[in-house]
Amino acid sequence: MRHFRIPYLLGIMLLFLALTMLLPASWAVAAKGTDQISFLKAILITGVAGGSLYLFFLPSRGSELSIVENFTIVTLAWFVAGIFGALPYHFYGVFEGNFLQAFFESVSGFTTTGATLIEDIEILPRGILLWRSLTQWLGGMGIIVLFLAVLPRFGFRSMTMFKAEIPGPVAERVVPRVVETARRLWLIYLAFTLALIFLLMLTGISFYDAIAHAFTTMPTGGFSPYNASIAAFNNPAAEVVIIFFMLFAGINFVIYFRLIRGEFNVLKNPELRFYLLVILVGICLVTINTLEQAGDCIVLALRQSAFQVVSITTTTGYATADFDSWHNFSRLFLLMAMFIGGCGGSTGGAMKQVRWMLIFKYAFRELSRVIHPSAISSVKLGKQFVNEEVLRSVMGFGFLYLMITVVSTLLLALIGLDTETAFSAVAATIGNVGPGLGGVGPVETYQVIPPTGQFILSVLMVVGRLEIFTVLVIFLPESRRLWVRALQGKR
Amino acid sequence: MHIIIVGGGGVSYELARNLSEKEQDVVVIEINEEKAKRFKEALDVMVIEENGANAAVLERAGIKDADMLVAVTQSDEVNVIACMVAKQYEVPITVCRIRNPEYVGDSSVLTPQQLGIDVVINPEKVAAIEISKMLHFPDASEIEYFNHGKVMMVGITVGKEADITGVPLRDLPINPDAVIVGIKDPKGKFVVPGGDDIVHPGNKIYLLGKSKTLKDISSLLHHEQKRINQVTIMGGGMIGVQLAQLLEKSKQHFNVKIIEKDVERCEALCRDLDKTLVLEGDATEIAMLEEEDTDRADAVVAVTGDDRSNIVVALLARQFGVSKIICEVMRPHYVPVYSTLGIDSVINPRILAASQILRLTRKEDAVAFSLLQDEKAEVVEIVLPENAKVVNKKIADAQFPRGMIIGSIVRNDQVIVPRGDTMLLPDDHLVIFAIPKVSAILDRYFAPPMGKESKEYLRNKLVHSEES
Repeated sequence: MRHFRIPYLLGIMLLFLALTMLLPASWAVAAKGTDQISFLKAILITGVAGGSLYLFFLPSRGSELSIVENFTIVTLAWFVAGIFGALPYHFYGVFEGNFLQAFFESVSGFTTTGATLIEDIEILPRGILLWRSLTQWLGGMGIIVLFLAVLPRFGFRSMTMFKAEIPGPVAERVVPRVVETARRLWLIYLAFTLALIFLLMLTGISFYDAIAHAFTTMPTGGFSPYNASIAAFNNPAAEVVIIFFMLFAGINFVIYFRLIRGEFNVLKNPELRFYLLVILVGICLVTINTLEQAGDCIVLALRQSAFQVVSITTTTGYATADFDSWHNFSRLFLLMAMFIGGCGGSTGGAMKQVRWMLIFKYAFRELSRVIHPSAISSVKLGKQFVNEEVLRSVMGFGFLYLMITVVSTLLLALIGLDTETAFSAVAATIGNVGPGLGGVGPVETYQVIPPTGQFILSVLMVVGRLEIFTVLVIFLPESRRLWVRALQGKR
Repeated sequence: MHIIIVGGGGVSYELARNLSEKEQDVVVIEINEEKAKRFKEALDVMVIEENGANAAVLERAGIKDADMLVAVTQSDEVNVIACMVAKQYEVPITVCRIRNPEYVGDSSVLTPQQLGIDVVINPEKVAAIEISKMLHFPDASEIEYFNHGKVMMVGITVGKEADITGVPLRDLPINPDAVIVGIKDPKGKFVVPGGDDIVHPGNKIYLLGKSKTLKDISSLLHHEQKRINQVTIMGGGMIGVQLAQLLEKSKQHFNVKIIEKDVERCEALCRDLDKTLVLEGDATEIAMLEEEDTDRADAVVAVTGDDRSNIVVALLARQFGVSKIICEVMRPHYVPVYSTLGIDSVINPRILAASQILRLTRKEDAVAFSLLQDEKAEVVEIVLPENAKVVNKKIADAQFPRGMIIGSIVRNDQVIVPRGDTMLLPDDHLVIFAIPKVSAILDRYFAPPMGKESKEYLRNKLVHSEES
């Protein structure tokens, strides 16, 4: 009878989603905004859909979920959240009844991408904008991980689900039980968010703007309620604060946990050092390269390039400058940075620092094998030995990531987009970055992409957020047979 | 509770599975990648792939806050070192598997306490003791003593001639000395019975009550009990030899034969055993069994250390018409298969050892704890603290959940089989039979206030009961 588990768990998730909509809805009510009715409708529909799934499909307890079922639930959860999360936009008429666009905006929120279709954000009421920011915050640490943390009794307790959502090649437990691990991670995430709200208000940002931006900085999301993104504030202090918090969000959250426990030697973590090095080199190169455009003012060049390099590398996607108009070297550098992303176990997207490190080390090992054919050598991260299983999965991931990028770019070209727009749109969505170059640059929106393209990119965002395997695995012929049969009610 | 398990073998797996299902924090340290993988994939536990006797590794496993360390690697030496390190960190309870009696036996100058070990476990020895109990009471398939032997629980399959069948339990005459605490049908469905439940022939019932009465179960169930005299043990491993030694020492007289394949092992057996006849040969060979008149044996014990050989031996013995067959099972999920094969008495050293350790982890003031073979139910012995919720209440008024029965109360050395109007008084020793789901929440009713002190108290108690 375990096939009932999937709709049952999705039902709980929808009920929970309806609950979270209460936050922006209450803001809308308090501000007497024009969006109150649309929230009411969205909450009702989500709640009723969730409630009926929950009531009609009581699970039989005790049976363990299979691996495929776990992956199916996680993938479905993200798409379903995308659909129902789009309801407030849809009912308010943000996209004049075009549901695909509302879906794109919602998925872009939950996956912390930050790609937008809204041409003029500032005319929208604050409730809607708060929901837009909140979707990113919810998606940042993972929807399922959130459930693990707050609803442990409902059967979301499997390590497989946890692994499916936590980015990076190995999901580490900080405490023995998965539920407790999820709870600690969310607490750290919450603490950072509160600290950021406080600091932003210190720099003179209003309470509403501080919340809206804290909700999109910590998950490295990148939605901003202003057309000009962070540049709208023109507030250097706020920019510095945001730079540091984007940087923090891109670090493995396990490191904070260890620091709290007093294990300061985690600061020697090789991935952390690599990450900081990449950012530092990036800032130097881009600053030198854009010096001329900034009117030879080193402070302005540093301020703009530091913000942009951190924003793109951590896959946040805020902008303080139109980097699409920068020197071609800087443009392409940022485009390449979209593939790197944050550390494993952070809220950052893309391929992750640790995977690149492993790919480099693996490649060099193969190189040295050419000279010493009978050498037996292992790949190490710092002093930690990396086993072949992890290496294989990293290689597989790297290959699939690049393959999907290539195929998607070709598809977008087929629809009629130019090379730069097509390639950067794919890189920016699968990496959960947000803005790309050309037609989808930081001052543009994704409206230039035709509907088919918008759909492809929506899927890419989920594929990128769940790190490919989770989504692709359920489309393998043998697993498809399993879940199709499961949905039909057989075992 | 935070529990560190060093070693990733069978006992460790059973223990980790059971504890993680009860939502305890479990860290398993296993150096072997393959073994570690099994834990990572199937259980909600943290796994560290290192040497568990290393202090730095133990520190990473959180030994500073650990409530218990269980060392059950293959190597006695590693286990001892892990426990010694753990005691340096003042872990309240350390459990160590030691197979080699030379380390902790009478000949050793060091006591386990000097080695930092609170409880020594030896799965093979526990299994041997269990089998020996079964041979003393052949009608029962499971026997467990509580409160220094005053209270006893037996599991027994009900025959057709028994007159308790077919009638709802409330209509049976009340026996002042024993109570039926569980009924299991041949398919494995298990209930803790109420007044409406009916015992059918072929069901297995669990009785809890005074040992003196239960030792003579045949009078309760009205069928002949046959004494066992001729015992053939198949397999001269650790269980086999310890069982033979126990039977030699028993007050009851047994004629024991032990069949072992390996010649060198046979010579060792000869040195360790006095009265037992040691035979060299393959227990799965029909010729061997015929030669030794297996059809005249009252009981056959299959403890070769290999599931397949054990099954073959047990089936052959049944073919020869042996009435009592006891079979060792290594893989727990094989257990249901045995009853379909008609082998009623099975012994699982791993579950036995795990259940022995599990009782150390209980929050209530449990002094004894036992798991039934297939984990359908647990028996807990608790000393009722003064400040527990249910003290000075009648059982009927205590609002206990379904799925548990207080089978016996020992008060001032007297065994009472309680009824609904029996009062619960402080310092009562309660023997409780419960399904695992209910057992996990027993502390709501019986727990003393938690603290370092009560833990210390519990430990002393355990060590004490271990010795007795």
